[in-house]
Amino acid sequence: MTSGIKGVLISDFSINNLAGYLSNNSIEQPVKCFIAPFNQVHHTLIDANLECWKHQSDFAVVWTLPERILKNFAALLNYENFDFADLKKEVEEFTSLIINASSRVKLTFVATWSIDTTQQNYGILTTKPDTGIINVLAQINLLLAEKFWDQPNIYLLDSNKWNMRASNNAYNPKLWYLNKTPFNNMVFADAAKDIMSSIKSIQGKNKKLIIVDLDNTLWGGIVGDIGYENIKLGGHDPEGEAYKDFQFALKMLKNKGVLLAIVSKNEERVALLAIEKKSEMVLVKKDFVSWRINWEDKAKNIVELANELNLGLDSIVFIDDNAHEREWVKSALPEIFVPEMPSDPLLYRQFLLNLDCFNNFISTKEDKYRTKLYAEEKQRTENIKTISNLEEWLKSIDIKITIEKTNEGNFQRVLQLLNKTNQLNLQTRRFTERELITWISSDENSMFAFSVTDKFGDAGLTGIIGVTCKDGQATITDFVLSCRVIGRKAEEIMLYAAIEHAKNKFCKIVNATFIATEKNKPCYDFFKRSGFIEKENNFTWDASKTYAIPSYVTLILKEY
Amino acid sequence: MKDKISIIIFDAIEEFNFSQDLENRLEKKIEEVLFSRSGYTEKGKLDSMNLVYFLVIVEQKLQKYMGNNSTLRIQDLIEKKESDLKNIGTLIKYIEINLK
Repeated sequence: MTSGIKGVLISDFSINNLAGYLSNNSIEQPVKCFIAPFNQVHHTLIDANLECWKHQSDFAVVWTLPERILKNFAALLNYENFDFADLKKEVEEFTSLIINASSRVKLTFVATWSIDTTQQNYGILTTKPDTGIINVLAQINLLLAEKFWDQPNIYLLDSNKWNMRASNNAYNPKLWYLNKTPFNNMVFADAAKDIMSSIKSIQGKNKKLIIVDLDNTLWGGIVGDIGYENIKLGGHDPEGEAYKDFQFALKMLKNKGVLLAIVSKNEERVALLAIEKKSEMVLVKKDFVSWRINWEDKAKNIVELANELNLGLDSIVFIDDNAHEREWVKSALPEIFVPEMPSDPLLYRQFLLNLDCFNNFISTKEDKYRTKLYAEEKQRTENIKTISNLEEWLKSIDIKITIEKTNEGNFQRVLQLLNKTNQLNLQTRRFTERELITWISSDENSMFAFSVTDKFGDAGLTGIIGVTCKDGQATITDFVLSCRVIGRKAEEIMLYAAIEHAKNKFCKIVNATFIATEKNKPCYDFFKRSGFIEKENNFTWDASKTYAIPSYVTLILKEY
Repeated sequence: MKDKISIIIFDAIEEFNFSQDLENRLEKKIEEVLFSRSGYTEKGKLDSMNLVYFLVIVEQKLQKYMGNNSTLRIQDLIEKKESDLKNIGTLIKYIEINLK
């Protein structure tokens, strides 16, 4: 997807306001929406020739009211004769139409079904299996989830959440009778926020690192003044409890794969003592990938941390209770997201959980251990400082690189890495699940995954190379490597693997075209020194020659 | 009263604009043309659907201000003479006269 995106909105009510909120939601990614004909959901899903489909849109939103789209559900609401089996059949037919239509766009978002439960009391039987309204609603939503579960590129969004946030004001009968719009604007605003957050997550634009302050952010009070024994954290105290819950929320995000770091104006020894000794601390030292605890300027410390972790400033969130520090960081480093923190610590947890920039659209085992992987990298960096000869050091750390084709087991991680890696990335091609499946299934194309381990630990699957072999020429379409393993010879092994693959496919030449972005100069620099011959960003290698790789790296070929 | 109604309407414009593309947004000025069926030479910013959205927001804000005692109903307003809805100024005047 490019910087501007297009969407098709399909609904059985007037959905114009969602289009407005989507287009106003993001400055960096303007959204243009095309609205399908009103109340012609089935027709729109069936007919690919309708005007709304003719704009090569990136996404579609299907948002319907259950009582309008499912006649059996309408019957249930009216306490008329209703057949649950028929209702399930209706849902299945509807999902089939959505699945067929989803091939016309890259992403399809389907809103779960909800009804207005605030204005009408459905009585004590509402949860009775197969006949109670709320029970049936839950079941048909589960059916939607089951039908879409194995569909790449169809994502179910929780519409109930949008309604609940608007509380009693979600539904507006006046708008319905006058305009055939069931909802007030609050619901559309929240839906737009959710859709944009999902798109950003799929594009790999979610945030990767949270940098937190300590005093009055992770705990109450100034530790340097009152000592760690007296900081407010946990215990029978509303604020202490709230600080502890805030730490739990940060830990949850860490478990989701977001990195945590500290930038705080404090004595390092005193602050670390608090983290280590205060028994109520939820976050422990190893939960933080790095820290800068000193009296230096916070903006300077943040830049140092970003460099150390090889992360772009636009992937960082800075959380600090001090408005002055927030303002300074915002003005010094405008790429960083500095949310306005509430002044009341009792609201900290809610504030953090409401930030919509940490969504994952896939979850991999690497997410859970990301902090550990960075910690191992830090150990390597420390270790390398003590050794004068880099080659000797590399020989000593027992590097093992596993090469395997992209398969069912590693697919999600490959997709994630392709979509989030910026620096060591030859062409920065981004894929949806469906696009990647299609690309891989072509006989001409192959995609290899590289996992790196050494004596410090397992970095996991960190490299990808995509190669197209056609008419005696091999073209490297994707060369993607996590910054965490740069310099451990994985780059060279990847090129070696691509060249060997080209030979096996009887190719004489291996080409790689570098496409520059704001962030991928490190990739260009690597190709420049790779031994490939360069001509205006095109790099070539004579496939009759073997690409030399260091003998001290152990190669493990798995389903290669 | 007129000043208060103006503030409420300008507040409603702000909320309305959040849900609109750039070309459909209203400006906070008395002369801003809202809506015109045939016969007016000036082109209104709102189509009939957006007119309803805007008026519902105005009605909600008036109700909030009047404590649900407002007798103004937007369905009546929509059925009234077009001149009452011509621009922000005529809308303020209409509300001032009809709000009890």
